[in-house]
Amino acid sequence: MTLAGAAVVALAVLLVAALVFGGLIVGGRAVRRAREARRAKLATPARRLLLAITAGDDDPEQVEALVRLPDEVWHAVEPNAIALLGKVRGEAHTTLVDVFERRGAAWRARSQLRRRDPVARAQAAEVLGNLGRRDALLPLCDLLGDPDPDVRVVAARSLGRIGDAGATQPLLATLASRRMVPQQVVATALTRLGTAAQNALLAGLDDPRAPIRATAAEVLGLIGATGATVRVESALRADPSIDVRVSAARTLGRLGTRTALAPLLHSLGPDRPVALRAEAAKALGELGAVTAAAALTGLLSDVEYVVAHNAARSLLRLGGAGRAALAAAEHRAGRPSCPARRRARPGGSGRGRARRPPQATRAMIADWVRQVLTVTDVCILTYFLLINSSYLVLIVLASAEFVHHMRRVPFAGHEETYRSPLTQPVSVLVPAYNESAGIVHSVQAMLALRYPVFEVIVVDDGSTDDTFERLREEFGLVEVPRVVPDATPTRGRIQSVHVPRERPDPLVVVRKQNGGKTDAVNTGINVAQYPLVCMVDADSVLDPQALLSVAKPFADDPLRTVASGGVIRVANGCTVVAGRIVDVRMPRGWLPRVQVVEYLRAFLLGRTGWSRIGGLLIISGAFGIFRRDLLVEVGGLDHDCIGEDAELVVRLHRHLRRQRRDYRIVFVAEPVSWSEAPSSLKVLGKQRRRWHRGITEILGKHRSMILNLRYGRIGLVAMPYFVLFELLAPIVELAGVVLVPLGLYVGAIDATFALVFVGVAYGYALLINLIALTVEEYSFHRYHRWTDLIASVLASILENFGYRQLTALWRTMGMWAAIRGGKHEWGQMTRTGFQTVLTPPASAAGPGGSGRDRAPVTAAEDARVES
Amino acid sequence: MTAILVADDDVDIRDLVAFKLEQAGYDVVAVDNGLAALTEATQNPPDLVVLDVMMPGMSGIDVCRQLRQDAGTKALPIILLTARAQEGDVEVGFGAGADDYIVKPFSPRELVSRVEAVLARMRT
Repeated sequence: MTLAGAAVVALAVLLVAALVFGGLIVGGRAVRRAREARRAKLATPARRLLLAITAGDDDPEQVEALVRLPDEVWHAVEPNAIALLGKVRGEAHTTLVDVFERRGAAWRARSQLRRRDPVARAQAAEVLGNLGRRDALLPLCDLLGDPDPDVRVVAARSLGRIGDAGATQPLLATLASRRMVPQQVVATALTRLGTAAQNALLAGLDDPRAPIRATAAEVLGLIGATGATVRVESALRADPSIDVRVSAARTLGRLGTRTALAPLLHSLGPDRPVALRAEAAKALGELGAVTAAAALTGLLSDVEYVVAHNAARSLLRLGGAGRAALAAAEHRAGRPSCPARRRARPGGSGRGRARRPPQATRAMIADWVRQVLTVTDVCILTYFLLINSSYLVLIVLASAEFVHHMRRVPFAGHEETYRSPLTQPVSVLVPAYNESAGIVHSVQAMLALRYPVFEVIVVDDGSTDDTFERLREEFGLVEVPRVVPDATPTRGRIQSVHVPRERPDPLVVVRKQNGGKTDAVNTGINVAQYPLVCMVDADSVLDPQALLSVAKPFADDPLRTVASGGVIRVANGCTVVAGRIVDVRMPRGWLPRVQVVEYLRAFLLGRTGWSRIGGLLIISGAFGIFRRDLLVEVGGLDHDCIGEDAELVVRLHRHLRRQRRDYRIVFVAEPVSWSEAPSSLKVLGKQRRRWHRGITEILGKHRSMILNLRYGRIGLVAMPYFVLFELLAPIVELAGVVLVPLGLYVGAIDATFALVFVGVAYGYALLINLIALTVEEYSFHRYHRWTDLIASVLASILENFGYRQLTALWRTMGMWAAIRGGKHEWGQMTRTGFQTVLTPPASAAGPGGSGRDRAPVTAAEDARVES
Repeated sequence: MTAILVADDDVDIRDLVAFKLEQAGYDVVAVDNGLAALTEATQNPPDLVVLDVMMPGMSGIDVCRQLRQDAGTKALPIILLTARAQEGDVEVGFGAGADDYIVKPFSPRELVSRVEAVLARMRT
């Protein structure tokens, strides 16, 4: 077949494929709408019935009517019925269960417990739990050993709902089994079994396996088993495992018996492990023993931040006496000197200047183009074919992940996680620099996130506006003496730590000398007291479920998950009310519209695809959760790297692979965080130069990982891919844009080749965009309006004309800046604040300089690094 | 007739609460976010508000605080509805000025009794 023939075939294939996917989007949406409308029509009268019986109308006729509903109608209201089942109790619950039973739900579920499809097994287990079927105890206990981890979790949860104490032993046993169920799930389930489980739990305290003893101790506190106090006290004093002792301390606080005072005070001793001292300090507050006030006051100036912090919170809980002691002590202590390490920066030496491009005549150019093209034409073509195909592969992987994810949403257990007191707490880090306009709303929105236990740490990075004053006014902040640990290296000195005194909001505001965003985040890591830390941008608009969704991997696989990233979407055009997205729409301008499509393809689908094969290299600093101990282990964010968030992930991979640890770094596709995308070319250009500069620096810094067997799929697949298809992409893109028209002009290539090039480079890319839109349409479906759909299709076409070429140019410039500039330049500019990092040092004057007074959105964009 | 404002983003709960309260003879206005609740409560002050704590826009706690600050709604009876029942949360709820606190899963009947009790307390 000739090239021309191939071109025709390829173009025809492209056209057909584009039509197919276009049809799929439109058809899919139309069918969805029709189905929804039909469902709504069917469901309306049935929903009314459902509400009536749930509201407690003891009308047997209504129950009868619901039971006799045709299956089709029932399926339309079943999700509502299931939802209500979990939200009501008492008679309303009993009646609902009765309806389910009479419709044969339990019988059907039991027959599904052994299905090959894990989703079917999990759903069946969920139904049996919802209905509280005690006769399902044994089969559900069997499911605790299921090969699918999600099924095991659902089985454990359902056993808790059923509430039969017979499940205690099997539930405890799973903690030490090879097919493990996460501790918090087991403990939550055990808690629901109530006091009937007490004897089995007491026996668990003697188990030789530490996780079982720790969980047993924990649950005894949660069920209020005051009879177990003596046993738990001896565990606190003498258990060989620190985890068990910490659990025991917590439990004694919860049980609140007087005798616990002595062992808890004993555990405060300076020679005890920090975790134990901190927990004991907390427990003394729970205990409410005023006699502990003196001991707690003594801890206020403790060198361990967590111990001092917990002691202060406990004093607050002790009422008037504690409050007075706290005020007096803090007054006396004044301002402590905060250890903030200053590291000497080695001054980078300037590199040689780049050579000027050779001057050439027209004839020489033509000749040169011809020569270059004879070597590279096929290469360029192949490159575009490969890069687009790689996107296709990533999209297919992402789709597989979405299917997996979507099918499991009904039993994801977010409600359960939210209600459980055992969910791993999160410290949310909010670096803020001159965020006066939006900071109060942002912090309020963050404090209102759905999550059981978390704190919000705002690090005011030497703002020159009234960011801090606004926070102080809104939350009634008072300064407290705290020694902030020096866990990760920081540069800017901490000036003061503030907490709200009158309001119980879990908020900490740290004021420090300006040191840049990286420095602010590292300071936040030092202040954070919880095992997980979440990095967010001060101007991110977060979904209320954000923490629950992105922390889920930690709950599901607590031993292996080390980091989890959330997807960033474009906030432009959406309606934001008080820091929440209430209506999702396409932006008005074409620049942000194109970015919506780009974010979908590159961030949502690209990263989900990489996450699926365990090669995720980037978690955006705009929303990512990390294990704090690991951040400390690797030294926090790197001050000298522009793409500090991506660099962190690469460094985590490097560190963990070297130690041959079994770990997971995952990406959660659920839309959780919305950011304003640049709407002017100037800002977009700045952002893209910065991103690509970041990528170049990271790949340069970690080049020894590339193609290194030691780093497994990260070194062999993900990093080489990044070099080939991220780092070099803009250069090849520009080469194509320049060489193909030139070649055509000088006659080095013929029209057919140019056509094939356009087809492969642009037609294929357009097709990829359409496929990405199709996947979004069938998965999250966030843009409901038909006009938004038209806009996004047009945007995916427009991306190929102008936008792509411009970004390629910016990216090349960013790469060049990285190669030329080295690290010296960045180190110098950090001091001027993270908003102004890209302005040359001369124009970024000291505090209050000209570069600082831009609109908050624009300013934050500069700081944000994504790629 | 006694007017009650119900604010909950969960459609099942909102409909159920509205249904139950209407059945009990109250005049119910239902909204699905905190800001709408605040606007409605300040513009047409009801006799009582049932607020979900976790809502998009503004949390029930924030709405509660705002209502307590505004002179017109300072004494408005507020019942918070929440999925969380840890000690700290209850403290936060009452700290924000709530009159009562109902934890999900809840009993629709109990809800009505509590509404009646709070209203009765207000009248005396």
